[in-house]
Amino acid sequence: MWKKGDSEETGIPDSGPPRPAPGPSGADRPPRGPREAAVIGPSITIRGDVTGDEDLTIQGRIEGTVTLKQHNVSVGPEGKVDASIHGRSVTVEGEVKGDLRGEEQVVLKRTSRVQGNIQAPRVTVEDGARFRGGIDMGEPTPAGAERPPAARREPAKVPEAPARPGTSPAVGNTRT
Amino acid sequence: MRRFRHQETGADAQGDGTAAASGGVEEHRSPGFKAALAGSSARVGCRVLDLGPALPANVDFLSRFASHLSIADLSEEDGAADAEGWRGRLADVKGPFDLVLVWDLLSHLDRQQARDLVGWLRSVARPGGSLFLLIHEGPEMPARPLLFEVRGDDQILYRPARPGSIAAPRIPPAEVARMLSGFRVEASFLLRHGVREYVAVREECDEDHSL
Repeated sequence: MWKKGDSEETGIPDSGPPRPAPGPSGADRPPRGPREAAVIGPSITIRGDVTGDEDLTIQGRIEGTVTLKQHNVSVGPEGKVDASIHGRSVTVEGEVKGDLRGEEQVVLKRTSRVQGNIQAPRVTVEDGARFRGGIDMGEPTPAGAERPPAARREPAKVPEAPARPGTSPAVGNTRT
Repeated sequence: MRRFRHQETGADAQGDGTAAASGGVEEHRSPGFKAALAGSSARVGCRVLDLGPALPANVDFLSRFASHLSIADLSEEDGAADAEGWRGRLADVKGPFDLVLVWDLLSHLDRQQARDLVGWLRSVARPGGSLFLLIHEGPEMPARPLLFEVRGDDQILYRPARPGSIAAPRIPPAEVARMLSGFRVEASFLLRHGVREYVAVREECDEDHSL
C-alpha cells in the first residue's frame, strides 16, 4: 500500500514541474533531497550521453544526448546544450542546438534559443523565444480534428497595444 | 480541390491605412488567411511551414490542425529580413508542405532574392499546397518584416518588429503573380490598409514559367 513518504524513501521523484535550480556554488544550501532535481552547474561541461532516473536541471553545458524519458529536464537560462534531449517534460530557458522530445510536453520560455526539431504532444512557445526547426505533434485528437481551428477557438486576449501616434481615431484598427 | 475566386476587392472592411507602416500594433481581418485555411491544403494532419518567428499564438493555432509545423525565421536579430543568408536558414527545412506562410517577406527582398525564394518554395510546396503571402502596396511599408500573430482564422494582429517605414511597393503588384512562378494565384485581397493578401496554389506539374 502506498504510504506518504514512499517515494521519498525510494528516491522516486514526484511528477511536479521542475524546481528552480539552486545557486551555482551550492556552498550554503542544504544537502540535496531525494526529490530535488539533479543539477549540472554552470561550470560543468559534459561530453557524452546523460541518462538517469530523476529530474535534471542543466545550467552548464552538455554535448551529446540527454535521455530521461520518465523525468523532467530543464535547461536553465545559463544552460547551453548541443545535444538531443528526451524527457517526460522538457523546459528550455537557455540555448539548445539539437532535437527536443517530450513525452508530455516541451516548453520554450521567452529567453530560450532553440535550433532543432521538437516532438511532443503539447508544445508551448513563449513570446520572445527564438526557435528554428520543426514541431511534430502527431495527428490531432479526433475531438479537435473535425476542422481547423479558429472557428471554435476561444477569443485570444489581445495584448495591450502601445499608443499609436499618427493614427487617425477615425480609422479603427479592428472592427468586428 | 476547392477553388477560390480571384478577388480584386479594392478594399476590405477592416483596418486603416497608416498604422502598420508607422509602427503601431493593429489587428486586421484577413480574408486571404481564411481562404488559405479553407483550402484542402490546410486539412487536419497537414504539414505547415511558417517563415516568420515562432510566435506563441501561431504555434498554438496551427498545432490545432497541423501534424507538423516547421518554423524558419528568416529575420536577423534586428528584425531585418536576412536577404543574403536565407538559404542557409532553410538548409534543414524539408518539405513537402501543404501550407506555407510567407507573410510579408517578399516585400523585403529585392526582385532576384524574391524569385529565388519562390523557386525554393516551389521545391518544398506539395502540388496543390498553398502559399499565403502579403505584399505592401501602399506608398510606405514597415522597414522590417512585420510579426503576424494569428488571432483567429480570419483575424491577424500586425506587430512591428522595429519602428520605421520605407518606401513601397518594392515589388509592383503586376509583377507578383509572374514572380510566383509555379504557383497559381487563386485569390488576392487588397485591404484598406494597403496590404494585398495572396493565396497561391502550387501547380500540379511544372510548366514553362520563365518570365
